Amino acid sequence: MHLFEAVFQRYRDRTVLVVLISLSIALMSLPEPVQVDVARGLVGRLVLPAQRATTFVTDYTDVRAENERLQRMVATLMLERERLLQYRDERERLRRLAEFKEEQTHRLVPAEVVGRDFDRIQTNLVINKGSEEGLRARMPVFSYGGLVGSLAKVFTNSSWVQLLTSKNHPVSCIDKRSRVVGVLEWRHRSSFELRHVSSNEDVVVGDTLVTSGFGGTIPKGFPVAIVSRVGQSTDGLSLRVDARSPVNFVSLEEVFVMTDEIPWDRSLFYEEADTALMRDVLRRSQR
Amino acid sequence: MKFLAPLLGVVIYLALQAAVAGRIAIGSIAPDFVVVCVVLFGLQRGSVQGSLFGFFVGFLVDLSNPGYLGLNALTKCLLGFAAGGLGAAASPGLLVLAIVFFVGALAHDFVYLLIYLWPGVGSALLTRALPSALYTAVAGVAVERILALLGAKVVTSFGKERQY
Repeated sequence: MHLFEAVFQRYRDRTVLVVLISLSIALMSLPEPVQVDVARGLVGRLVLPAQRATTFVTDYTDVRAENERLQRMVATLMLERERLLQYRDERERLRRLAEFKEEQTHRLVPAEVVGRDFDRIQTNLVINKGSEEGLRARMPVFSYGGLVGSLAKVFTNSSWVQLLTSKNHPVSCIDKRSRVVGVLEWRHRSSFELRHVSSNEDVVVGDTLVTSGFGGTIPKGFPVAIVSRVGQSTDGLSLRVDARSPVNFVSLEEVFVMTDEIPWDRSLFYEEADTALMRDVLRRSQR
Repeated sequence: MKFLAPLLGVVIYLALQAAVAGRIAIGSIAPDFVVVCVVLFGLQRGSVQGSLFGFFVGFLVDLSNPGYLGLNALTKCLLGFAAGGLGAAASPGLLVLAIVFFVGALAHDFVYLLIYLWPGVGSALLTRALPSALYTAVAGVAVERILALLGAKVVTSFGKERQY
């Protein structure tokens, strides 16, 4: 026993290191669902309130500038809305004449990013909307630049977004121009690779890759990335297609969760927009 | 107080990483304040406390990336151990400290990316780990200087385990 204690005392630092390394490897060896459940349970209770407080403090300093920017944006949108309303009426008349099928659009729920990975390779975000807002797991998440990821876990008032910059979040995509289909997978930073494209397919640099709609989770036709390089793969049977996402995943501040489909002419924005408020904003922005 | 100061430090460095690192990023290259935190703690407290602290901080970081639970705990515990075991080297000037931060961040990212991106790790080392380690070294020296100006006890000599 004394010998054991003496050895431990002598090699205390290495013993501690070996124990910690073993513990780390044991954690990494856990099945992924167990890892995720353990981590999210702890984060939901411990880290999220602290992250919210941190985000609140940093965001508060930007509120004034953001307010001015939003007022200008609302004023512009107000003018554009008037123009779009005219187009809508005109379009509706024309569609009725042609007996077109009623087109669908999607309801977008805006959400703020209230937490993110401390890790530099960011694969997850936390947003401030949850099941109370009607969100459910696997719903797609967008930013102004295009597809961002999908909801991985939904809590009452917050949700985890799994970003496309995750090794296990491939997206079925289609070339907007040539309609070539492939699976887009993350490589590093904002770089992706479109896989399973035969060598005789028509893909060129600058093509836009949009969601294919296959699988039914993510609707068809939303931009994801732009082809940045095309070359032959080493086996000569397929193309190596590199693409870049226009989204800056590191600095996302607000995102939109696509919840369900509604007829576009019944969009809440058009039916329930507070005209008086918008006019007030327009008047203030013109001072 | 002995345990409160490191805990407070962890909160501050995690807040820096979450709120500041992204804002001062050059492209997608951001400094890693958590690495700075673990290296400074290891230098001050030695291998045992350095590795324990690194494991704890790494585990906290892992909670935000649960698909790879344990990866940051592993890399940061190694980093804390290595920083704590620097031994009786010469007393550090800023250049030596910067080199310590640079080598520490580079080695940390090497192990991290090796496991995370296996087997396609080659280009990430050049495009991500190397510039990020340089940025972390600059940020680390800046943090050390600010702490020194504020009168905090920071690294003044290698080799001896310091106590708060």
